Amino acid sequence: MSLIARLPRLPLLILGFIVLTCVIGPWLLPAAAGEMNLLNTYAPPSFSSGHILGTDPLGRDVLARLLQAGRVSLAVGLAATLASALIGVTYGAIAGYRGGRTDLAMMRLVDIIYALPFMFFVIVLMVVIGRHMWLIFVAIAAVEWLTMARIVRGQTVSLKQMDFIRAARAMGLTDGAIIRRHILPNLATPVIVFATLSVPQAIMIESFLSFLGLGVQEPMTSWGSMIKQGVADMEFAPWLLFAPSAALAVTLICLSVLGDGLRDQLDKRLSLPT
Amino acid sequence: MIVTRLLLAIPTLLIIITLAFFMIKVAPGGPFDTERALTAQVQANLNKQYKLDQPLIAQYGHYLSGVVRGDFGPSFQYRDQSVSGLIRQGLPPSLLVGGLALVLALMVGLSLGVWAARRPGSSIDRLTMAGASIGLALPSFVIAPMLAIVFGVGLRWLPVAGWGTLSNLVLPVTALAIPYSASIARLIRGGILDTSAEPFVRTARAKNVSAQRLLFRHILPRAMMPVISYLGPAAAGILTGSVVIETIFQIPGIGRYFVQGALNRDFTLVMGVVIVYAALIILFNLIVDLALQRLDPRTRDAAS
Repeated sequence: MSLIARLPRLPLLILGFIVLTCVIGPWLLPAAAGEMNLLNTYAPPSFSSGHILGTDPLGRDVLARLLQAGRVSLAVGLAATLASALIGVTYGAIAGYRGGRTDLAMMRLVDIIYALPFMFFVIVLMVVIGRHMWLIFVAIAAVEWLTMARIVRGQTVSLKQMDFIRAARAMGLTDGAIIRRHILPNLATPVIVFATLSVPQAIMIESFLSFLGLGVQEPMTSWGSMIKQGVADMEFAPWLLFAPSAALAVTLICLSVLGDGLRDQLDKRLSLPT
Repeated sequence: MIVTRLLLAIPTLLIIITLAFFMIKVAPGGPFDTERALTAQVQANLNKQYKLDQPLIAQYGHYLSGVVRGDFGPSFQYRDQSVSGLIRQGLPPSLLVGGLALVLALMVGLSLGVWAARRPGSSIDRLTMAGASIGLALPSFVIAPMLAIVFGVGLRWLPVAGWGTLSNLVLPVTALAIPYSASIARLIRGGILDTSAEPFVRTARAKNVSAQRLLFRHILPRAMMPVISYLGPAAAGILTGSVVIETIFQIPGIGRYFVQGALNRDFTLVMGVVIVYAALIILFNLIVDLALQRLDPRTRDAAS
C-alpha cells in the first residue's frame, strides 16, 4: 500500500477516474450506447441537447459510445497482459530453472520470434483466426509474452544459485514444487512491474488492430475503432475524432508515467527494457 | 562474425516464410468465399489455377521456390496483377516516407537530447523529457489524425491526404517520426549523463579540453551507442507505423496493400508484404550490428 501512496498522484487519480467512469458511467447515462437516432446524426457537442460529446453517423451518443469503448479497450489491455504474464512466467521460469540445453533451445526460440516483425504477425494471426473479440487478446498475448519470458528467465537463473533453493533441492523437493513454492513467489516484484509496463502496450496493440478494422467489430466498439470512424469524418465532424483520441492518449500517458514510477521505486537493478 | 550474422539471417527468413505460409493455410475460409456460392466447376477451376488443389507440401515447395526467385505468386484480390508487381509499385513510396522519418527522428531526437543533457534538472531538461514521455506514449494513429486536423483541415497549410507533391510528405513523415525522436532524445540524454561520469571524461576535463571538443570527441561517440543499437527496433517500428500512416494519408505504399490484403483475406499479398518487411528489418538490423561493431572498441576487440 505504501507503494501506491508513493506513486505520482495525478496520473493515478486521472486513471482511476477514467476506469471508474467507464465501468459505472454507462448505467448513469440517459442514452444507451447502441441507441440509434437517424434523425439526429452528426449532432455537434452541446449541453442543451443532452449529447455532451455530440452524436455519430448513426445518431448514437458519442459519450455513451466512448465509455462502452473504454470498457473494451481497458478489458482487452488487462486480459492480454494477464495472459501474456501467465505464458511468459511459466516459460521463463522453466527455461531458467532447467538451464543447460533446454534453456538454450527455449531462449533461442524466443530470440527468433523476437526478431520477427511482431505487429505483422499479430495482423496475420487476426486474418487467420478471424476477427473475434476474445481472439484479439490471444493475438496480443502471443507476442507480448516474450519480454516477460526473458526477464523471468534472467531472475530465475540468479535465484537458482541461492542457498535456500539448494536447500530445497537437498531436501528432495521435486522441480515442479521448487518452481511453484520457492521460485515464483520471489519473482512477484519484477513480474508486477513489467506487467504494469505492458498494459499500455497491450491497449495500444488492440487500438492499432481496431483502427485498421481488424480488431473489435461492430456493434462492439473500442477507442481504436472510434478513432478509425473519426478519421473518416474528421473534415466536418471533428468531435468524432477528438473524444476517442483524447481518451486513449490520456490513458496511455497516465499508464506509462505510472509504470515508470513503479519501476523507479521497486528496483533499479532489474534493468527492465524501456 | 559478419558471416555468422549473414548465415543466421537466412534461417530466420526461412522460418518467417514457413510460418506465414502455414498460418495462412490453416486459416478458415478461402479467398474465393463470396456471398454468391460458386458452382463446383468454377471453384475447381479457380483452385486449379491457383494450385490450391495440390497437396500442402507441394504448394509450400512451389511457393518457396517462387519466393527465392522474387515471385510471390498472383494476388487473389487484384486478379490481373502479381504480388511482386504490387510490391514493386508500393515499395518506393514506403521507403521514401520511412527513410525520411528515420532521418528526421535522428536529427530532432539528437538535438533535443543533447540540449536537454547540457543542464540536467533544468527547466529545459524537464520540459524536453516530459514532452518525450508524451510523444512516446502516443500511438501514430492518434498523432497523425491530430496533425491532419490542425494543419490540413484547420489551418489549411498542408494537404490532408494524397501523394505526388513535396507538401504531401510533410505530415506523414512528421507523424511517423515523433515517437522515435522522443525515444532517441531520451537515449542520447541518458547516454551523455552516464558517459559524463566516466573517468576518461574527468581526465579530459582535467586536461582543460574545450567544452565543445569534450562533447563531440569524448562524450558523444560513447553516448551514441545506445542510440545506434536502438535504430534496429526503431526501423521495425517505423515500418509498422507506416501501415497506419499510409492508410490515413492515402499513400500508395505497401503498408496500404497490406491492410487491404488483410481485410480482403488476400493471402498471397499479405504473405508477400510480411516477407518483404521481415527482410527489410533483418537487413537493417544486420547493418546496425555491423556499425556497432565498427564503432565500439570493446566489441571490435572481442570480434577479432
